[in-house]
Amino acid sequence: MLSRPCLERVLSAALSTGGDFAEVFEEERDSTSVMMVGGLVESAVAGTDSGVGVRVFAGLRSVYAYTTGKDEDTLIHAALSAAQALPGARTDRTVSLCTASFPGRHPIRLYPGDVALGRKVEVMRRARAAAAAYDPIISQVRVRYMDEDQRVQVANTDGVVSSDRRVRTRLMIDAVATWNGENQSGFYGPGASKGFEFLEDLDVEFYACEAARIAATMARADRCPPGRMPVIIDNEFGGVIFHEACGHALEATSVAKGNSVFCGKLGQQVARPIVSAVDDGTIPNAWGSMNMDDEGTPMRRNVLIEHGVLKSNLIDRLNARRMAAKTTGSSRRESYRFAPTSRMTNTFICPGDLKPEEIIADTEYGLYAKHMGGGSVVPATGAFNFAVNEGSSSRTARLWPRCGGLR
Amino acid sequence: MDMRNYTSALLEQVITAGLDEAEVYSLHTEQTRVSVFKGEVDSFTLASTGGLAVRARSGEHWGSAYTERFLDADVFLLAERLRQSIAAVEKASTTPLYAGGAAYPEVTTTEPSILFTPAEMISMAMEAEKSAYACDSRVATVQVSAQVTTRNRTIRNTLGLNAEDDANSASLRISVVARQGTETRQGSALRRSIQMMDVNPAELGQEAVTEALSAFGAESLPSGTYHVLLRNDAASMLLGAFASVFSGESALRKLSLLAGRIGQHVASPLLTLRDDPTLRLESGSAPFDAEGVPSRSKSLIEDGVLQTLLQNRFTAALLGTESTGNAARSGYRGDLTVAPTNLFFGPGTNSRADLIKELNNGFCVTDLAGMHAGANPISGDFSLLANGFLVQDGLVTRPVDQVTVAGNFFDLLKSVESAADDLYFDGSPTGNIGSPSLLAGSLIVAGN
Repeated sequence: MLSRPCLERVLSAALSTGGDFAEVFEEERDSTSVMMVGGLVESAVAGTDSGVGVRVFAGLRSVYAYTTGKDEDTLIHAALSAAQALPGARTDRTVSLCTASFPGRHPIRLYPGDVALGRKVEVMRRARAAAAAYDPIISQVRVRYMDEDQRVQVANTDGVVSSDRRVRTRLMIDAVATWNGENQSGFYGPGASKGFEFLEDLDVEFYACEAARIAATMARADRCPPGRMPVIIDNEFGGVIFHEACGHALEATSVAKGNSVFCGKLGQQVARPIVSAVDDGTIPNAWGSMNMDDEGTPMRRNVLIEHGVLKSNLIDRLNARRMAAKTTGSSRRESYRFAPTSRMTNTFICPGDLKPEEIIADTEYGLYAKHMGGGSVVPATGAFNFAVNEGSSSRTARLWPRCGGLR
Repeated sequence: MDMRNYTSALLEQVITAGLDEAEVYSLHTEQTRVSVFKGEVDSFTLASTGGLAVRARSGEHWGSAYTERFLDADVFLLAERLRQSIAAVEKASTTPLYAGGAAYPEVTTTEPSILFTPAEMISMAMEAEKSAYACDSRVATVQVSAQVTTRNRTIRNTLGLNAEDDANSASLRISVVARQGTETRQGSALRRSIQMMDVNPAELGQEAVTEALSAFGAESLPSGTYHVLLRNDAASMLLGAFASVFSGESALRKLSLLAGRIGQHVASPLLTLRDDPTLRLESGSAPFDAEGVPSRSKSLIEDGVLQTLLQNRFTAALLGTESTGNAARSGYRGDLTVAPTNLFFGPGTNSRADLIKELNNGFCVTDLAGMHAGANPISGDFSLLANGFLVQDGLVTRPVDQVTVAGNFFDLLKSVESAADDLYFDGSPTGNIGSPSLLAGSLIVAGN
C-alpha cells in the first residue's frame, strides 16, 4: 500500500487551490468468481482490482478523481486535476498523518487466497447435487461462488490514516423447475464477512434444497389474484421491505437534498409503535459488517426508528456538511471508482412478542410472503416495490407463484 | 508502463508456461462527470482507468484472469491464475481463438463535437437546471448531470489477431421533483451521443418538468385486465429485462424458452427484432465484437418468426451454428459472454397518438420499476410497479400510479398489435436496447 510520505504529498497537492478537506482512498482487491451450470464448471476467474480515489471538498462542493495507476506522479496529477476543478487561491499546505487503528471485530480463519480452487469447486458440487436431486421437475441448477479480499487505506487532511481488510464469501444457488411447459426459479444465496470457513461450517445441502424446493413449489402453484390485501412477511430477507420502503430514504444521499419522504421528520412518529429498526455494521462477521467505513470512521450500531419514532439518518461526511449533522459511520463505496456516500450495512427490524403462527392465524385472508426477492424505491415519493419469490394464501394450502411487484 | 509491451510479455509468458494459445483484451477509459445542484457544481469526477483480461487454452480447457495492477510480478501471477482456472473449468471447447483477417465494417463510433470541455458541460447543465426551475413554481428539486467518455479497446492473441478501436460518448441527464400540496412527482429526460450534437439544454429541462407535472393527480386503477400501450421507453425497459432470452448462452444453459425454436412463430407477425452494431454513434456500435469478429446487422424476429439467437464463437460452435458477432465483455472484469449490441423492436409507421386512438380504452404505461426483482427471464413472468395514463374513448383522461402490471414476456411478444414510429434507445453501454411504443394485448393490473 502507499507509503505515508506519498499520501502526505498527494493530500498536499489536493489542497493546493484552497480546498478545506482532502482524502485519499486506496484499494486492492483480490477476488474469485466461479460459475457451475448443469454440473459443469463453466468459468473460474480470479482477478486483482487496484486503484486510488482522491477527493477534495471546498465547502459543499466536491471533486473526485480516480485512477488505476498508483505511481506517485499519476496520483499527484490526479490530485492536481481535482484541485484545479475547484478554483481557489493557491495554497501550500503540508499534511502530517497519524495512524488510527481499530479493533478487528471480524476474525477470519481461512483467507480465500490460501484455499485451493479445487476445494471451492467441491462445495459447489455438493450444492448442485443436492438441488438437482431434490425433485424430478428440477431441470437446471446454477451455482455461483464468490470470494473477495479487499485491503483499503484511507488518509485525510484531518491528519488520520487508517486501514481495514474485508473478506467476504458467498454461495449462490439458482434452481429451475419445469412443469407443464413453464419454468419457475428458486434462489438462495448465503454469505458472510468470513473466509472459506463460512462454507466449511455451512449446511450447504440445506440451502441448495431450499432453492430447489422454492422452484418446484412455485412451478406447481396457481396464480396469485391481484388486489389490495394484508401481507404477512416471513423473517430473514423479509427485512427487504424495510430496506426498500424506508432504508434508502434514510440514507443522507436522498435526505440531504430534500429528496426523501423522511426529510424534516426526525423525532416524529413515522411508524406504528411496534416498529423499531436498526442498521448495525458491527455484527461480527455479518455480510454488511466492516471495522471502519470507507471514510475511516469506526463502524457502529445506528438505531433508525425506535418504537415508531424516527431517531437517525445514515450520514457520510459530505452529507453531514449539507445537513449540519454528525457522521454515523455509514459511508461506503462500491470501489475506488466511486466517491463514498451513505449506505445501509446490516439492516433489520427488531423482534416483537408474537409468534409467526399467531400472526398467520389472526389474518382472515391475505398473502403470506415466505421468501422475498429484491426491490427498489423512489426515495423522493416513497413509492416502493419488491418481489415475492414464494408466497401462499394465508387460509388455504394453495400457493400462488406469480406474486411479484407488491407495493 | 507501456501496455503494448506488457501485453506482449504476458502473451509470451503464458506460452512459456506451456499453454496452447492466449488472448489479451485491454481497455482504457477516460471520463469526466459533472453534476449541478442549485446553481453550483455539486460534484465533479475525473476518471482514468485501465485493465486487461487474459484468457488461455490448454488442450480442451479454457481459463481466464484479469488485473488492474501491472507490476512485473503480475505477469507471473496472471499466468498462475490462468493455470488454476484451466484446471477448474470443465466445460470443454476446441474452438480456437479468432485469428483475424476478415475486413471490419466502417462504423462511426467517435465524434469530436461531443467531446465537451468541463466548462461546456457545466454550462449545459446549469442551463438545463435554470430552465427547469423557470418552467413552473411547483418544481422543488432539480438534478442535472453531464458526462463525456473516451475509451480505447485492443484485442491481441497468439494467432495473430491485432484489433483496436476507439469510441467516445456524451450525455446530459436531468431529473426533477415537483410538489403540489402533499403530492410529490418525478420526471426525467436524457440526451446522449448522437443527440448531443445538437442538444438544447433548455428543452431538456422543460421535458422533465412536463413529465413530472403530468403525473399530478395520479391515482390507482381498479384491479382487472387492461388493454395496454407501452410507451417506447417503458417498452425498451421491458425488452432489456428479458434480452437474455435471445442469447445463445442462455439457450445452452437451458435458461431460455426460445432454445430450439428457430423457424417457429414466437411473436405477432407485425413484430420485428433486430440487432445492429453498425448504427452511427449508438452506444452498442463497434466494428468488431469482444472476440475480434467483424460486426454485422442481423434479424432475430421477422414476420413473427424466430430467425436466430445471438451467438459468440464458443456458443455457436456448441450449438452447431455461426457466430453472429455478439461476443461481449462487461469490461475486463467480466467473462467473455454474449450480449446484444443495439437490440430493438422495429418501428412502424403510425404515430404514438394514432396508437392511443387505436387503444381506445386501456392503460398507457410510461414507467416501470422493480425490473431486477420482478422480471424473470427464466419463466418470462413479470410483475412490476407501473405509472402511466388511463385512456378512455381514444383520449388520455388521467394519470395513473401505484399499480402493478403482471404478465408473461413470451405472451406479450405474440400479442403485439401495432408499433409506432417513435423508436427510442436506452443508451446502456452493456447492451443498448430500443423500442417504439407498442400496442400490446392485455395485462393484469393490480390496483384498488
